Amino acid sequence: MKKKKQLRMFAVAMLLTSLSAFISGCWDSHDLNKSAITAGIGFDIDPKTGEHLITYQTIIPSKVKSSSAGSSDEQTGGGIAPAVNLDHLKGTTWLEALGNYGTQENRSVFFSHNQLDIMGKEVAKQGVYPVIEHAARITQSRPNNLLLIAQDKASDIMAARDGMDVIPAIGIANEVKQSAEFSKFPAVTRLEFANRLMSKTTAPILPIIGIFEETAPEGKTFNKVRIKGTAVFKWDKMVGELNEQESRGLLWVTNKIKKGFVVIDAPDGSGKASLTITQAKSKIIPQLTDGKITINVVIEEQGDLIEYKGSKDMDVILLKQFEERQDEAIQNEVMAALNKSLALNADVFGFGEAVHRKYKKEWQDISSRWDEIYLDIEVAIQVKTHINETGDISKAIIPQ
Amino acid sequence: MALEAGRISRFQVIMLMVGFIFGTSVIVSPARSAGHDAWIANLIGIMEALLIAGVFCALANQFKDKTLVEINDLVYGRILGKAFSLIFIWYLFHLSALVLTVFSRFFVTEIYLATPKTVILIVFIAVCASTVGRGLEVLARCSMVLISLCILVIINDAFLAIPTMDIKNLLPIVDIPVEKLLWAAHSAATFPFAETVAFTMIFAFMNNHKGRYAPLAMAILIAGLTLTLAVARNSLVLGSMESAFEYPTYLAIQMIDIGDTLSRLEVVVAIFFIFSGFIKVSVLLYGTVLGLAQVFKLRSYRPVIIPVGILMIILALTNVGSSTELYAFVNNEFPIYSLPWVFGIPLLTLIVAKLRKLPQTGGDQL
Amino acid sequence: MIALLLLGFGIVALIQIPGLVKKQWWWELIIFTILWLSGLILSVLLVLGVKFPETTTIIGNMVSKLFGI
Repeated sequence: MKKKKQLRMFAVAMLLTSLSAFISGCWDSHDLNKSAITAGIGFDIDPKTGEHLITYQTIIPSKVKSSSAGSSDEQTGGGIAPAVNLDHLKGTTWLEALGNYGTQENRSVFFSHNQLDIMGKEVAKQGVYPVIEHAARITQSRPNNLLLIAQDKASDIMAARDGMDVIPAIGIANEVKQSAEFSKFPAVTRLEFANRLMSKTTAPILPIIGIFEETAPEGKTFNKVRIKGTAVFKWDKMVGELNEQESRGLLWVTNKIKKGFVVIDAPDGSGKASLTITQAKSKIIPQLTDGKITINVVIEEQGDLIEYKGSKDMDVILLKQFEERQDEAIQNEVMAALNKSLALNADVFGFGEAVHRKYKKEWQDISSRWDEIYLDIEVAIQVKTHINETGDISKAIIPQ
Repeated sequence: MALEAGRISRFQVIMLMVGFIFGTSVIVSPARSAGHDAWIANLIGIMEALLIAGVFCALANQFKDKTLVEINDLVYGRILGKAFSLIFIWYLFHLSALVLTVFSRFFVTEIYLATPKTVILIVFIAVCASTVGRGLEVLARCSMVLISLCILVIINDAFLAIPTMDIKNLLPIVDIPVEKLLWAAHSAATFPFAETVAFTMIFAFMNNHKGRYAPLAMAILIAGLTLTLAVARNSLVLGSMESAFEYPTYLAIQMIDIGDTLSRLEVVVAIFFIFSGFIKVSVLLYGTVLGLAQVFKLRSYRPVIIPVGILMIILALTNVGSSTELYAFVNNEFPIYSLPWVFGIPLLTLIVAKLRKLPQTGGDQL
Repeated sequence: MIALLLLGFGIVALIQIPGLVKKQWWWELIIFTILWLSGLILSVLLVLGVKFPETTTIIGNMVSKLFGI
């Protein structure tokens, strides 16, 4: 009996030891210092030679300290020394470029923490589908990665050091999310872009990012990375751009307004007044009568007054006038977006899908002719705003 | 010496069945061919499955404490009965190999990118084999703990995904032709709900002698509604890309990102996939070895567990050439292939049994 | 690779056979050996790279032809 028990204990010990080899994962172990963790990838095509260029930022874990941006040590680029390596891969197709990875890196690339994919202007012109499709197949990529179009070359954006974050790509990603949060430009994830690609009628959109030179008060010039517009696609090729006002209009219609400001001309001629948006909702209601499509866009907004340079006291009549001005301002933004969308014949708002949801029998026919139908649709915009609060003061701070 | 001395309670049977139904369906959602109407197809499939389950439950109720192999022996006589039993055992064996194939391909594609499928399969079967070797009671107790957690996690994930959902993704309702919807419903009924015919090998060991249909119906409803919730969540989160992704549940959960803290939850969910796959493979392995033991009149099923497990691994490695063939089979041919076993043969056996007025009280079979 | 395989099967046999012999369960031993041998032969063939018929694909094709989908 004792020998059997000893044998059993020995067998169990052997089993546990061999199990630990399995649990730590022999084949799939990723060592942190043997992986190149990419933070952002840029895709470019040289218009003259057709050469494909992939630029990527890989994080150096040992150099990532606290990311307090804008700290007092201003260097030539503005900001802290970044904790990333910048690398390039070249080839005649994307896969060839990626394949060249083995010739120049001593680590294996790890895409799971990738924050952004930036595609250059030339890629957008020639069609972004190869990039999107390949990324969708790789299992390391996540569907909530952000996509961007570079104003010119993605490699410039990747190389820009604007001091916002120790890892520039994360800084840019946060900037994109902020711009969506403050209702300036849309932030588009890989999943949203893919869904728009799959739709028969909706035009995909992506924010455009560019580098601007700005002068600080001391006279030093900085390179700042900023989002400056929204790119509009017809399937996977870029056909046009929405500027700031038009992008806002797009956000109003697609119910993506979160925080932000509306600037209006004050009704008593005292210059500009500003209101902050506390809540915004929009609905797209399609109507199909006798083969004619009418879209009703109903926008409801609630806001607070936060800047008013005039001398009147707050009363209901004044607020009503503000609301009317606000309605107008929002309507202008939406009209701007609508006009641009009609000019490009690209349904960026998703009107087609709204018709699909309501009229599924007629959809087969309508969707095949959407390019013609879209220019003929009538859009009626209804804006209802309401001002709730006027802040802490209700009288102007002037001698009474 | 009885082959199986353990007895399991009603609650344990229900949990075992729920875990069995979850099986691979939490990874490869049922009724995928219906696109964003998959949740409707699922609900219809549940109802169809309840009808199909009625048949083999009636058979099990007729012969209260006999497993399907023993029932076949009684109804069809020794030789024909063994033939029917062997075909049924083949069904369980093949099904288990299919489950293992789906599992190993999922884990190799999404998580363990470099590990060979063989290694995953060996470790998996080793755990299942050791559980089955300890008897049915151990398996039932495992399922009680693991599957209750599993249900909670699936429901919880559906709620966590609410910020990323868009109700418009479910509209328009019934966008596909009705035949396609019904075919999708039927494929949901056979994979996974009607596969519970495997439990005709386990019903004999329930420790009360009331009806077998009530626990089965309850399990189908619990598992079915949870799966419908998961399927609806996938459609709501992923939109039209749901039909393009191969593993929609995994990708839908990748989209959960609450306050930048609760993100990358998909690995937790993958762990629960392992639990549900473990229960399903263990039940099927148990049915196979118990069936073999009863067919060949062995004194215990324990010696055959490991060889059968190894043969399952071999079948799992070789039975399809690529994932594309596998999912084409699951979506197109499996709903028809499984019909004889889940419905046809049990119905036949039930009719013959009733005609021969079996079981007789006292007296031998004819 | 084959050595590893043989080692694995050897361990399996070592676990089961002594117990069966001691209990004198000859019929069970025969069944076990049949299954064990088929497992061994098939896995050796698999490791050697012999092409196996793809069972599920074959079943799928048969079902398709029978029911004309």
